Amino acid sequence: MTLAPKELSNLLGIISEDACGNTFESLSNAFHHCFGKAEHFRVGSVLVMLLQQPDLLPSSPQRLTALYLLWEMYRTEPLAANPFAAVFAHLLNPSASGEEQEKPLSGFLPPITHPEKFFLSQLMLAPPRELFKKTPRQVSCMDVSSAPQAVDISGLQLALAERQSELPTQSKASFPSLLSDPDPDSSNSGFDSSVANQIIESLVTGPRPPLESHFRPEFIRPAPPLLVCEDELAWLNPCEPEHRVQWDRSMCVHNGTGVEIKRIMAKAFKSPLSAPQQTQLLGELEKDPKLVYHVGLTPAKLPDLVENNPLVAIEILLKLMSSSQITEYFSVLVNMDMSLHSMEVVNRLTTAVDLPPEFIHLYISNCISTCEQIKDKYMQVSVCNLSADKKSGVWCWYRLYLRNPRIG
Amino acid sequence: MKHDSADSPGVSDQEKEMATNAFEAFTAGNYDESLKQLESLQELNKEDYKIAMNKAVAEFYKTGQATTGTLKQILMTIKNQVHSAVEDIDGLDDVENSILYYNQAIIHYHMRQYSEAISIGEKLYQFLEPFEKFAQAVCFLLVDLYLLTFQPEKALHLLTMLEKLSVQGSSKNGKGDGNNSTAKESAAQKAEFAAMIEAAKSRIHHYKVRAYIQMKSLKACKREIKSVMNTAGNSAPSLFLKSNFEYLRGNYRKAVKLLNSSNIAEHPGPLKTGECVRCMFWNNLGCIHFAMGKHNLGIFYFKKALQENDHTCAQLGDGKNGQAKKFTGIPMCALLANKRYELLYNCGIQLLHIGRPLAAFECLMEAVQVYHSNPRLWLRLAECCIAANKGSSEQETKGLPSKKGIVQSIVGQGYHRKIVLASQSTQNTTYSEGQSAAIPVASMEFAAICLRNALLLLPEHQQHESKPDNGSKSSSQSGSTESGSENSDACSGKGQEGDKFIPAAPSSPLRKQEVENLRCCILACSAYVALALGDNLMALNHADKLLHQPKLSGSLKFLGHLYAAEALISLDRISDAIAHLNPENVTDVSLGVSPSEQDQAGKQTPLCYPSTVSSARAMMLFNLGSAYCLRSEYEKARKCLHQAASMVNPKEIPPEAILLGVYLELQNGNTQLALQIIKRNQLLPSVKPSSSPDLRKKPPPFQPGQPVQPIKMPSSFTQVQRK
Repeated sequence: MTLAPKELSNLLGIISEDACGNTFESLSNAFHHCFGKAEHFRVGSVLVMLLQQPDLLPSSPQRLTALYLLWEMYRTEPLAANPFAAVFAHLLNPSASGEEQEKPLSGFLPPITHPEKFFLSQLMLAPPRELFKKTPRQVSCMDVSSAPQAVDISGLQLALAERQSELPTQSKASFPSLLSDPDPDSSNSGFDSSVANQIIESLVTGPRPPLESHFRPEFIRPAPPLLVCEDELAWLNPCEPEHRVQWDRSMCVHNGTGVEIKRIMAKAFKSPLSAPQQTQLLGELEKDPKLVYHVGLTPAKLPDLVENNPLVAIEILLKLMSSSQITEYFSVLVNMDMSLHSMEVVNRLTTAVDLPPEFIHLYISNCISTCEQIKDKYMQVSVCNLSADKKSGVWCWYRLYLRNPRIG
Repeated sequence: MKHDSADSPGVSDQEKEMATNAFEAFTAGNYDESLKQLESLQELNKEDYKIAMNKAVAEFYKTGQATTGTLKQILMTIKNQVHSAVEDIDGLDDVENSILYYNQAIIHYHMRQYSEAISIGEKLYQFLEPFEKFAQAVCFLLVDLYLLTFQPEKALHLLTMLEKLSVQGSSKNGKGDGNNSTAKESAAQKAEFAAMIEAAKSRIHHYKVRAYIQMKSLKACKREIKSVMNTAGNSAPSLFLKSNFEYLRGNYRKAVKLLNSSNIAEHPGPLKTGECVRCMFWNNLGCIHFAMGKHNLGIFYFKKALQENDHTCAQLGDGKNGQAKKFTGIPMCALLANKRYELLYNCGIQLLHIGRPLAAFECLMEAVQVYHSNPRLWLRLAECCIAANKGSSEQETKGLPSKKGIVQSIVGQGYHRKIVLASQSTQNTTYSEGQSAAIPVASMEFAAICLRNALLLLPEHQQHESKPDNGSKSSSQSGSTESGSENSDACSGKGQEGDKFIPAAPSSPLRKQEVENLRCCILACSAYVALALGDNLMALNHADKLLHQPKLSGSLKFLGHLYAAEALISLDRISDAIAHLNPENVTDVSLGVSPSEQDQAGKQTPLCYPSTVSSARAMMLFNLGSAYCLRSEYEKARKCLHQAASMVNPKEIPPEAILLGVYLELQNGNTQLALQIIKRNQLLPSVKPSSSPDLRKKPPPFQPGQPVQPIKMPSSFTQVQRK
């Protein structure tokens, strides 16, 4: 919205006191010579600001020029479409003319003289061509006491009100942020246009000129406080870690047995082993207690081993009792499909070691639900018989439970 | 290890002997001899890759463990060979090759590639034999890795396992060993084993303390601390741990004392241990002083720690070498010595609290490159931007409205003199034009990005069924953060099952309540930033979400209402805004800190912020007055203004409120009174509109304004008015 200093000086030249001797028509020509359509709004804003600041635009002929230019810029369009139409409406407002001393609002346009008002009213109507052949100075001296006082602007006011209702409330509530504060101590030395022009320049040129800013009720917006939290900073503790690259002691020590055992185990996951194979496997496992960790059994493979070679599975599980993974093995065992082999394995395990009670409970409930689903009567009976063999109290309970509702 | 190799004749006695010799030379530190043995061994046996690996290991030790990069390469090559050979024996190789894998994990660990190290370690863990030194080594490595990646629960689980095993192991070792080894051997083993267990116990306690500290369970911590002090006496690690514990309990003096009692001068130094204890010492002192609210000392110590760290890095030659040489030339353990990012994080937080947001921003921007999945760090960055863009922060922090806040400039002199009123909103709004918001400068646009990241890194709130509205906008953002964090090693602890803790490296993980506080703070900042950027819909959205948080602190609730109201005003929904501005909405202005925190002396709430309910209510009333003004309800507005002004110290009346007074007088036609308010920069009792005389007569343009007297008493105004 700012004007370049060059543009401003052009504008100030056109509305200068000296230029008021020219006719309106020639002023209009000079204006259009300097400014294209695109600049009109910016120039108009400056003119309005000058009208608002009587000390900067002191003489009546100058104000006439300014008003004329505001009107002239948009004369081809309907009056209500002129962005500065509100200025006209305000100046011509009959109520303001009636009791104009009531409330001189700052930043609002100061009242204008009767000749100015007459001139403006003429502009609102279809202005006679001769009017523009006059000079601003002539118009300002006209005796208008005989002329009709008021012109009806209610139509314009209505159109303006309609347009304003579309504006956000905040925009409507704004004042210009420029406030006149004449220094009472300064001597009233008269108007010096060069001083005024300097002030105008500082008001409308440069980045973010005061002309652009506006003044409206504003919200206090405190910034959020910094997040408060405990223990945010990184505390550093020395811990002297001892993680070192290690020498592999198994270099050149493994003999054939390890590989052979692994081969047998690989087979054991797929099919039942032959008697000699089984003996060999169990024998080697017995010889080397650590071998069990190298045979390639993982919890995921346990079900295969149980189904194909329950005896091997039992032996290996017993050897794995102290392994860190034993709970994994248990949970796999509990959750695998119920079968004679798996029951056999669990049975042997319960007699050999102390199993965690939650494991046994889980297993039993699993058994029951499976049992209920078994269609084959023979299978059911044999499952139940197997469970009937159990000696421990838990298993007795299980048997009773199973027998009564089912076979009883 | 292929099928036929199994049938090939076993290892010859000669080979076995050479292998033993090589190992003995290696353990004796005679690496040349060991290498010689290995070379001749390699000529006899071309099958066993372990010869090559041990050779690489011996070479590595020969160079003083300084060729980490080379070793990594060799191990990788070996692993690829082994894998192509045995892939068909589905995974049976894992146990055979455990040392190879372990060594790889060790190297990943030292190169800070923690997630890789963890995945190898977890695989190894499945095949562990109990009571073996190697098993312990793997477990300890995993524990360390879990702690480094802030997964204390996993670490703790493993530690209890280790503890159980060592107890079981010692008892079993007593009875069962006689079967397969001679009595003499067994005795030696037993002694060795007992020593190992003793050493392990101390380490287990040590690790447990660290885990409990990360979990912030101080009760459990206290027990373990005792055990640590009993087993490991007065070593620097123990004293630091105890100091950490006391620091967390708020016993700052004790914490300082403990740190001072650790004799850091005698510490072997980073080249030996890979840890720069001096740097840690200064850093921890900084943490303590930060917590005590002694921010200037805090920054002093953090700077010292950074200097020490730079010194260490220079000593290690780290950083000066190019990327290629980065992992050679310094001992492997020293690769972990650099704590720059932790220190930068601490420094940044400290600078932010001391009121130097731009310096803080620089530090935190560097830190965020490593800790980019820490939501709190993103919030901190946004806070830096907010603080840096807060207009005239100095005055505000002192609680004094400056004249500058009301008057933008004075133009002209004498009867041309004009006052240009300042628009607060343009002061508050800062667009950094012509710059991409993706370029990190401390702008509000960048703050918005940071806050979006922070929100995305938080787990969805269970109670919030509606998905966040910013989802679509920021999906690309989320994609990049998500994928980024997966690659990151420092942050691999992300996305735990259960989500009890949210990782916030380099700090301890966040507990649920902390996460909720964090979320509230992020939402408040988001609303504030959106307002500053003129994004009113977004601001309203964030403020609404903030107000719906279940455990909202009083102060943020207050801000939520203020922000929502301002956004609504800008959206031209004045009545909705006025509903938010009911002063009854403010019931307390606490920051929602745990009571223990508030008790601590030296903690202060940030300034520039309503510290009492009445000042917060006053602020709300000021804004309510502005809202009434927009509806042209000037009498109501005036009432609000005066009620609010009576609630606060006249010196603390914010510039916006004074401008509201000016506005009301101007609306009233009292230009002179408005000017008086501006000049005295304080609210003045208003005059009834009816008594206002006509100041300006007619149109005389040159009439000088009414003389403005230097005012002594409010009563003189009426005189001015009447003149």
